[in-house]
Amino acid sequence: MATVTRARWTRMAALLCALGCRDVQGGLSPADQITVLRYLDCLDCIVALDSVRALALRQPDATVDSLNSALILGPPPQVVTAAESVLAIGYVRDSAWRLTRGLKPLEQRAIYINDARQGFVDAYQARGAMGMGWIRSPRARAYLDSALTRPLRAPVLRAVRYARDSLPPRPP
Amino acid sequence: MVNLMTSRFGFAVAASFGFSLACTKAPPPSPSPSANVVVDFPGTAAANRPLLLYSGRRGPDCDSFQASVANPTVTLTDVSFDPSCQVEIDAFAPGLGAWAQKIDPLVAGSETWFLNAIATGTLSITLPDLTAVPLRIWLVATPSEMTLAKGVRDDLLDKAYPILETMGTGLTLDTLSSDLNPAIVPKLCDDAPAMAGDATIYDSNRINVYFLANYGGVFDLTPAWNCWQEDHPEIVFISFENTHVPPPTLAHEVAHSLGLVHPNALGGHTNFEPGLFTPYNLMATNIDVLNISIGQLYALNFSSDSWLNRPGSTMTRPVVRTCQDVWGAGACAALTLFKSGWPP
Repeated sequence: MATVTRARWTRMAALLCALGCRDVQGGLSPADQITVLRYLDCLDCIVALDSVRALALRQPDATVDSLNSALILGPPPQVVTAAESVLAIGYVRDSAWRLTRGLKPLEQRAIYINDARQGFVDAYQARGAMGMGWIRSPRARAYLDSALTRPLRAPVLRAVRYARDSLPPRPP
Repeated sequence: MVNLMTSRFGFAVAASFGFSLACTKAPPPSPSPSANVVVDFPGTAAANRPLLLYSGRRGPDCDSFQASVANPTVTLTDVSFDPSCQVEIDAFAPGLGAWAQKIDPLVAGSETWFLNAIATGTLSITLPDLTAVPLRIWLVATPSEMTLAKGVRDDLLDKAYPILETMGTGLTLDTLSSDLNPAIVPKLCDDAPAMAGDATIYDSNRINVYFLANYGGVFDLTPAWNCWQEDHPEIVFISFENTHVPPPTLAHEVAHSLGLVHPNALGGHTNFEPGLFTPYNLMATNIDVLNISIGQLYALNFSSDSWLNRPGSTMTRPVVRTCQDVWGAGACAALTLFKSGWPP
């Protein structure tokens, strides 16, 4: 990102981390913390994952610690609260649109928001596991082993198992 | 209404100023008389009030993509025609298609509509119907996976339609769905050029969206991926087995297909750009979309990178520009351009 100066990048990262870095801590610079957050929040994830793997070459323990925090703790509470607000706004928009089109209404608001919020949290935690699976250092493996003993939700445990046993993929 | 007082006075001043310089060098070309132009938008209401972008001469300034929200009209003050200042007007409204008109200096007579607006003091813009973006959805699934694949497809369509239709993009979707055997479909963008040559798995008249179990055959590698870096933005993969395929995924990937790939270094992604975008922008969020910038609306419809405007497209717009590879202003409206309170 050639147009962004280092100083601006650092300020930006510090600002964002004030909002979202509870679990992306310890030993990573603000810019490096953003690298991890980009991956945890990704939608198109390949470049974001490559960046985390590259970061792990420079900062192996700190990167894995951050990913493990994401796996165990999930997103910070204020991020989840903000997500709920966004989901509520989207629910109103989509419901009104469906009404104008004569389509079946969405499920009840509380169910819709709860399901969507849970999916967001699951994905965040699963990314923490998958990131460690790709890095595959002894520390990452130990974290994944430990995670399997925790009461995590089924989709997250599935990601943990896959990350521990099947990543990185073997050559065909 | 034409402001004759202002235009006569301005013309006289310009003429005398030009005369005073005549002894030293030729005067610059004089702009046309100026006027206030009231722009109205038949068929719109408060619930879908339009946003207008004006580029052209206003008083002494050469405006570029100045945004105004109709209430219910927009009055452009002190407008004049100056060939040295690019003229273009664009309009967007929820539930309606995007509208644009420009003056092409290379096309004689293309300024007529603008001069008429200045002469009459009015311009009436009737926005077209939503533009239907043709999608071919390929369900690349085994029989046992098909229910899951269809469920993810339906969830993403249920989110994409209201995002596109209510947030001012001017777009909707026209979808066709087909099943494909996973054994015959590649799983990576590396194979996009070959896929585009195989009519059994690719529709050259549509954006091709492949719902497959996992991109690259790797579980949870990514919810989705667009092949724009392989010069095939019309090829999209979506991983229906992924732990979480966020509801805005399809709208986001189609937006890549329609030109939201700038700055290229970031693939058009706006997350972690505080001060420029919020986390809930179309090209950032994995939760839901709360905003799409005006520059993004412009690029979706009028950039040469948009699949709608590809060479040979039958949907080419009256305005197509090669957009700048930065967040800021350039040939196209800045991707960072927002207007408070719009869309309504």
